[in-house]
Amino acid sequence: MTLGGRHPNVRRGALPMRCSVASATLALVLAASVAEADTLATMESELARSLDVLAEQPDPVYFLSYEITEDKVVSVYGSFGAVGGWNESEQRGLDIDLRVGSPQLDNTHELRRGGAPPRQRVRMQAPVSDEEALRATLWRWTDHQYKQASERFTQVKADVQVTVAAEDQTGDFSGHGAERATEEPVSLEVDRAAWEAKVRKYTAPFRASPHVLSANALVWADAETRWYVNSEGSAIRTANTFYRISVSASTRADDGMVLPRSEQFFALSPDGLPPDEEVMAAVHGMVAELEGLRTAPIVEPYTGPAILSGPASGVFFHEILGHRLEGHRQKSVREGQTFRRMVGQAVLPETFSVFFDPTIPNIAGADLVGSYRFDNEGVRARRVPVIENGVLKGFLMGRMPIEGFPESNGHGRKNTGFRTVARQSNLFVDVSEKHTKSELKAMLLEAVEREGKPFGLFFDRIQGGFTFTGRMVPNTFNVTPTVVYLIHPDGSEELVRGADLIGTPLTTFSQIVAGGDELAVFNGTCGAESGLVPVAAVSPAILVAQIEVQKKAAPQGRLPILPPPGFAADGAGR
Amino acid sequence: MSRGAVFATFCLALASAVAGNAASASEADAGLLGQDDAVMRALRDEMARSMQALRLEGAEGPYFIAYRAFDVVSERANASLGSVLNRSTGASRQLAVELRVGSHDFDNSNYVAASPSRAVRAALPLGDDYDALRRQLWLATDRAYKQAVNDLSGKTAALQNRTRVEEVADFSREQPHQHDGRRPGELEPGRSEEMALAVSAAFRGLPQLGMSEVRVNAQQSRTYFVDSEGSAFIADRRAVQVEALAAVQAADGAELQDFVTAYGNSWADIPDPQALAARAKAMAVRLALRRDAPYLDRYTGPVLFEGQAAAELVNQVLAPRLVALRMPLVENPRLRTMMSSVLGNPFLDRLNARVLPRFLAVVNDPTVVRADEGDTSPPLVGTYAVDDDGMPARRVSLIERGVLKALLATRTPVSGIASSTGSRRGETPSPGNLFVEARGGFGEDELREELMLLAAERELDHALVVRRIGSSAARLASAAMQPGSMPGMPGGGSSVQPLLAAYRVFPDGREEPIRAAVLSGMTEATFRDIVAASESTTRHDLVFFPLPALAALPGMSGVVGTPTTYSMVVPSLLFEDITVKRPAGDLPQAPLIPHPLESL
Repeated sequence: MTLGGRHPNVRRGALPMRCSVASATLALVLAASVAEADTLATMESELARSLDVLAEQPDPVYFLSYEITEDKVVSVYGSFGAVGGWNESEQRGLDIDLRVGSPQLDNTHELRRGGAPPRQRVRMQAPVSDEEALRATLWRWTDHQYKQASERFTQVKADVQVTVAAEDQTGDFSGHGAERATEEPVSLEVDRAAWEAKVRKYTAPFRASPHVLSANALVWADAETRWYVNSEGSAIRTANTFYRISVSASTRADDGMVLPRSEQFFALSPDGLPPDEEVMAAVHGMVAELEGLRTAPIVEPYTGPAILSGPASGVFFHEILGHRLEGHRQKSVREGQTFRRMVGQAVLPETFSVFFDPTIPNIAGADLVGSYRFDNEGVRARRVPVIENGVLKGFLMGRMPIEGFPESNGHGRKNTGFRTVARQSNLFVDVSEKHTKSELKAMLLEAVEREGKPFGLFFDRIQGGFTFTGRMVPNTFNVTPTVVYLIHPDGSEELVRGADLIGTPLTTFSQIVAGGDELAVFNGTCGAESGLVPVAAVSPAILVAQIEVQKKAAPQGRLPILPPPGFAADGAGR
Repeated sequence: MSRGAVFATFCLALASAVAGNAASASEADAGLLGQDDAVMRALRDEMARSMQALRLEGAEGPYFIAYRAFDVVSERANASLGSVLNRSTGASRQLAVELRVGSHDFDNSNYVAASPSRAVRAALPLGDDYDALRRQLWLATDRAYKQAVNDLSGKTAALQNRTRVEEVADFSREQPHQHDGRRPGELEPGRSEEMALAVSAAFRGLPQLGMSEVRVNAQQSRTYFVDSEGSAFIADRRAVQVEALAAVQAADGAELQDFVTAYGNSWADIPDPQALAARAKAMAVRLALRRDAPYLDRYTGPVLFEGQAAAELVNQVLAPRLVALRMPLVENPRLRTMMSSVLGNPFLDRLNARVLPRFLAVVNDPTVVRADEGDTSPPLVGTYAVDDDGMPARRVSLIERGVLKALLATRTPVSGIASSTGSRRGETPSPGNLFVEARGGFGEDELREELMLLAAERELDHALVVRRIGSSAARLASAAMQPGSMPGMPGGGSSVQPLLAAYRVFPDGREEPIRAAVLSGMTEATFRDIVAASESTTRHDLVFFPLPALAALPGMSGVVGTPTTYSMVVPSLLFEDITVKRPAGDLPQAPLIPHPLESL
């Protein structure tokens, strides 16, 4: 049993034996009422007090951490030139990582019998402004978590006894040195009236088009403070702000296909948000593109060469590579483990390198939302090269070790209420041989001609994507573009609709040919076992020798029966 | 469904309240209500256009449209031990479209398709941007119409090979009614948090309380209603809700909860924070007493329900039978079975039959503001001028001399009840202010004597008095369960929430508290065996859950209804023969680690 090195300053008062107040009167104990509690110190001392008892139980606790995530969020939203509403909220989620057993085998061990466990979110809340309130909350939930953990540990021991020896014999947890850091608190800069004006302004241009069926804007900001302490002596307070402007709109083609377009602007400070002119330029682009998309021809299922724009390529790498490099997936018996045995092998052209780096908050003038200083397991963020000159080097690691990778590299992440797993941060695609846009297009046209294809494709804008990494389903990915062009052999471009980019990871990877010379940033939110986490992908455009497109799912709803109010049936204005 | 989601719907339905005396005067001569208001104009204009022109080829157009637009400004704060857990405030305008295709006799409603359609809701812009309002109304109406056509054809197909034994219309015909209930007010920002902090601080310094929380919710809303039959109203409503909850764990692990609530139509109706904190503290003392009290294994005999316990008993057992809910035509057989077991209301077959003893009567009256002349307590919380169908509120005598005379109804008829009683609150009928009246009631001493007499007849050495019963609304997620579990459902094998204050009463007048107990086998039929009631009454503000058992099912929006607050004035009720037992189920373990205050 390891108990980690506790910080010497932690107060460890002598504990009385189990106290019971037998009489029916109320025992009133006066606690210091602290207006502004020292949250970290309170968490540390309560953690030490709990451990004193729990480390002595028949199923002893060998690791304990508390994390409180406070989010103060403000948002203003609206549509078609009018404000729809606003919200201001604050909440504080509590997460407890309590481990009984030993690092080799503990209560978090995967149960190999039975189906995959449901993804569960446990919502615990903690007050932080008062010592007594915080202590009482930590006490109650620690006790609750201990009971759950010891129950599960019993199941784990039984499961290990009746299943075959695990292929990967590494343990369940890796220790880490104590980290101490205290960042200054942050606050939001919000001028609600100004935000309301933005929301009106950004959505007003859509009013003029009778074919736009939704047009929404959101201005949103979150000041997030995290307090983290653990039994290894770490005590960390970090503070971040996130700002976001989102404009989304949609139309429908005559055949019922819904055609969405959205523009997202993320920033880590209000200064990082674009000026109105930049947003409006994007909005006017959206209006025109929606109009074009509505009448654009549909792409039939197709395989052939394609160029993916920088953002499209970023999402492409995030889905097909990033998710498959998340450490825990190499161990779980339910995962496809695509890359597990490929370390040291070439998986991409020699000119391609990929790394993850949460310590870079900004590149080429764009903030990266997947940046942080410490992950959710108290491990300092660091750069992780995963592919160097085409060769696979390693995985993204949280505290769960895997064969050949015994330690965390600062990628244990989660949303509050979920159990931590290895997740992506800021993904960077780095190409050593850079081609200009026109060079990439020329290479595409050459491939079209060589293979006798009727056209190539250019994936310009995308909404996002998803991938299946499990064993029980085909290991595919899907990137959902919103703006796609056919590139005809003569070089002319034609807007099309209805194509989703699909494929399987290894085949698709073997088709990547070359990269461009301009980096683009895709900021987004990624959802997986441990909830939603902010991530970024930075990539140049890439040329892929062969991709596959399939038809987009199309709801069969009819267009609105009546023209929009104020428009005649033929769409003419009033 | 998470607690959060339930709470959110709760907020909308809280819109109870006095819709004002400013009403009526201008109505007669005003013509159309709210012609000066951009929202009302947008609602009317899009409704008129849709009634006239919205039509799919080969289908009928709508015969009825109602729009409900809710402007809501709300402020919520939850705190524990004087420290904020979370809070939020915001403003929005939500639209609900009710669109009917067919005829009053047979339309698309009262039908749950295999994949049930959801009530059409949309966000409307705040403010008075007429064009932006129209644009959203247009899209929402289009969706509602297509869904209605779809449902009507599904329903017609389902009935093609069946003969309906009884034809009950789908929608009642009513006289149009207009009402102007504009009564602008302010939310008073920050008061929710102040209240939550002050009241939750009352639980400080008490290590016995394993858990405590104070939830405060304040809401200012305006509802705009227009329908295509000429009804319209604008109603400003305010609601404030304070719930202070606490739990202790007894030495055997049993978790005991109690609560203090205050519901009102404005902050002025809510006691000040000091007064509520004092009540919260008294509640903590009660919990401490119960924690060390003995159990009662099983008791069958006379039980006297006093005050809040009488009110909650009526609220949870009798009141749900006093509303007329329609069993829809349900495609999914499993859902059909579940729904018919929950919606089956024995009182539907008991109209003009005796359901209470002859000395008891029940009246629902949302039109009164106070229980009595000269009453100085805050206004009743179930008062309103028009219901959510736009129908005028009215007094309805539900039970007279023990005989069931009427059920509360909306415009959705059920067998034997053809028209509305002006009782739609949210989606379903709900009580407004409910008065349980006893003729020839007993004095307190007489009632107690009667109780002991009945016990003696049974050769029992004691009787039971129940003073508090748990509420479906005011509950902490049990420590033994995962947080976020469903509210509304009593546990422990009972149809009623656990007893929070129950006492053995001995012939010498001595009372002994009971740690934890539940009622066994209590149904609406049990109420016929009430043997006596008190002369005096008390007033309680409660939360009515129309169908908690259904709330968890998918696609139940519009069938389940939303919880609503209302007031009840009720005497103490003496039952002759009730079984009370220890709660079933395993007990969680006591905490391993001592409370932090005990080890400081």
